[in-house]
Amino acid sequence: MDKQKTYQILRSFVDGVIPAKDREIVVRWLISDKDVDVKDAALKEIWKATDTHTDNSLQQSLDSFRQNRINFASQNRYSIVMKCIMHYVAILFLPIMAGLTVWWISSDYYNKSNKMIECYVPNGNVKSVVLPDGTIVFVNSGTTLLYPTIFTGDTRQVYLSGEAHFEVVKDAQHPFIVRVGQLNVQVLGTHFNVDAYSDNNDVTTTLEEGSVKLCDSGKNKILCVLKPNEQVVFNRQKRQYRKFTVDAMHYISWINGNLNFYNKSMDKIIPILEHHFNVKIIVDPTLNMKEEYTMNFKPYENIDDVLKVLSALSGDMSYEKEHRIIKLYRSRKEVDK
Amino acid sequence: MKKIETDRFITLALSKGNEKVFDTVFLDYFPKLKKFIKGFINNEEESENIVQDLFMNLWINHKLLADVDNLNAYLYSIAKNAVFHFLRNSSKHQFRSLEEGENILENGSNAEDDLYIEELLSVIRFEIEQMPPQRRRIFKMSRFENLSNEQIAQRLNISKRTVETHISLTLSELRKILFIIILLFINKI
Repeated sequence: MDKQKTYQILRSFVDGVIPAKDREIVVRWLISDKDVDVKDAALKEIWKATDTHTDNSLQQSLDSFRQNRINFASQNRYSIVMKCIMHYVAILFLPIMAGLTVWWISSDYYNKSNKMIECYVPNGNVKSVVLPDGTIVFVNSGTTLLYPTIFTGDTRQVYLSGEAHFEVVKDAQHPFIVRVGQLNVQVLGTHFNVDAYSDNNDVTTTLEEGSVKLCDSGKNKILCVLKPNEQVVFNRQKRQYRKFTVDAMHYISWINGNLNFYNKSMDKIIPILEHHFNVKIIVDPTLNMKEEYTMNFKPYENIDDVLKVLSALSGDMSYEKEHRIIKLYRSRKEVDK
Repeated sequence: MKKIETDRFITLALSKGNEKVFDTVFLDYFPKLKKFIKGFINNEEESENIVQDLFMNLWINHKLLADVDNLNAYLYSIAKNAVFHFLRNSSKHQFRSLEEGENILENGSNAEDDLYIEELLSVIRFEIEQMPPQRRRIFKMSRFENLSNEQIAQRLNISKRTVETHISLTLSELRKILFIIILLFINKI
């Protein structure tokens, strides 16, 4: 469907011209993956043309907003930044762990009869969630966060598959625990980041502020306690860890929608791009995947911007993009003499 | 340039959690956001809730606004995401059984839908052509050329009120006609 038609149908839709029983068809067409750019351009036009008649209800709405703001402020909140990066390498362990995790979750579900809320953020999005205790979580693309409707019991537990950044409300009586498979990240009133994508063999925990205790629940022992700007890389298979000192800010700028890579190898960059932009990337096997890159991208930059930079930096890589599928391949570039 | 500088100033103040500036932005944008969202989800209360949620999210995550250069564009994109999120999650569109021979393209839309929509559009365009000349001219200027009511009033040397009346009459005519035509003539398979 061309630009003009797309605009006209959407305009008719918002004008209420489309009969009720046909609205569903238009909605189905609108939310489909086809012609996303054309639809977006049309929607922008509609936004531009949306006039703003204010009426008495606006003051009421503003009062509501102010009240919500006050209610929110009255919650006691601590911001501690902890950087702790844990890397897991567990190719074989993954299916087993995923199964165990699901079992834990379902047993918890039935035992506590406290309905678990699933927050799933699809690729290409970042979302923030406020947990029942007021803790704020930024959830990255392609991530699932499970948390209960109410925190009951001695601990506040959530389950994570993917990447999230936590700003935890201080409550010493009820430690906050993030469960990632067999690793528990126990938090003592802090800000920290956990990167535990299931398609990534590494689990990375980054601590900005506060302190975090890492436990291996499989062996039932405390592994280490992290201080700010520390990073722990945990190998799932060997159950061993290494500690690093890092700049936490590098690992959490994604919550602003930024995309940053610091000496990241291609094989790690690819899945991140896939999650962030919701694309599929097919890589030519002759390309060097160990090559490292340092690059920064702003929220408004898209996959084409990234690919251009990447191919410029690499020197021998070119790409083809069709809808959401990207192919990276080796190309001979002319050397400037 | 000037508009962007003002915008920057505002988003910077917002990112610092300045309540007064937040209130101002609320007053400026709440009606527009609500109208935009309501156009798609067609429910007054739900739209109000969604926009209130959006503003609360902005408030809770106000630090993120430090990176925003264009407030209008930013609000458009969060409104658009909210609309898509809502539409995708309304169960009507999630489960649809496949009928034999149906051709399903990505994400649930199919070729028949596209054809049907094109038919709808041609009916709408046809009906617009049947309207009396002045009304048709005004409607086209508004919906096809994207002129504002004020611009149309100026160009045709009539009052803004007249423009609004014409457009509103056209819309209610179209709604009536479409309803009847769909009932009588277009067969949905």
